[in-house]
Amino acid sequence: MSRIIIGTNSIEDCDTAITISDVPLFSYKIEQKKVSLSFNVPCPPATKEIQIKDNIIHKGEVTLKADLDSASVKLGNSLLIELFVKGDTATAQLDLRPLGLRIYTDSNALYIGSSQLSQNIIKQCTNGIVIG
Amino acid sequence: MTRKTRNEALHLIEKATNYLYPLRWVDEKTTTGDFDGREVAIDVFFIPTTNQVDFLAQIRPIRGLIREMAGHRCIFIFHSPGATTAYYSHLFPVTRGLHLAKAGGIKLPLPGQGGTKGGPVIIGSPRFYLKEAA
Repeated sequence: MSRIIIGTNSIEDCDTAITISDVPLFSYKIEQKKVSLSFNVPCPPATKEIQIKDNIIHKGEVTLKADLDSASVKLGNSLLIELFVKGDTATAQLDLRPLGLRIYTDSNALYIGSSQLSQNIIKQCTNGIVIG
Repeated sequence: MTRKTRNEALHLIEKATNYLYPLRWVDEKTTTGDFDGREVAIDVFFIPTTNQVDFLAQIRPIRGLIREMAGHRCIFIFHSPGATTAYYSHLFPVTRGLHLAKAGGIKLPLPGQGGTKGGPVIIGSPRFYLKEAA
């Protein structure tokens, strides 16, 4: 089983956790004892495009850090995504507001525009959360 | 003021404040009471009282531009997190405790400017157990 916890929501055994305009937002795997992150934000709707595949930045002036059990992407000083992996569970913190998208998490919920998602379990779905 | 101009003005304010607070132009359907300048009033939601001065400072560089776009000085109506929850919860749908299996997922609209519209929709023919949702 694979599980991603995002803003207290649990997304289990889904092909993709979150998509924005049909683009999977992020995925990860463990390679050579390191988290390998793919992270894609399409423009539009974002104000800047970001494309990272397996820890390689293809588009976007961002910085990426990855180690044994975590990975993060920053735009300037703003943290866009931070992923902590423990066993088959990954916990993601997200803040796409610096990219012009009101999509972010806090300790209580995942916020998408005016909607708030918290403590939901989404399992065995094609896509967990589809935005746009 | 055209819808496009109204959206652009909100977008400028959202950008200047790092998208911290949901904004909208005062809505004649869901904002009660009448007051002068209603047509150039902007609701700012979930803003703690202590952050209101910071908000005004953050938009200071663009206030002239906003005024030009609106054709008038704008009025900002601040709603604290408590007041937003108490009086405007219908604008901010909360999906909580949903257990959704074997479906297409949960679909939400792209957050747009003045983002207080749209709620989640379940895709496909799911099996779900609704423990609690509002």
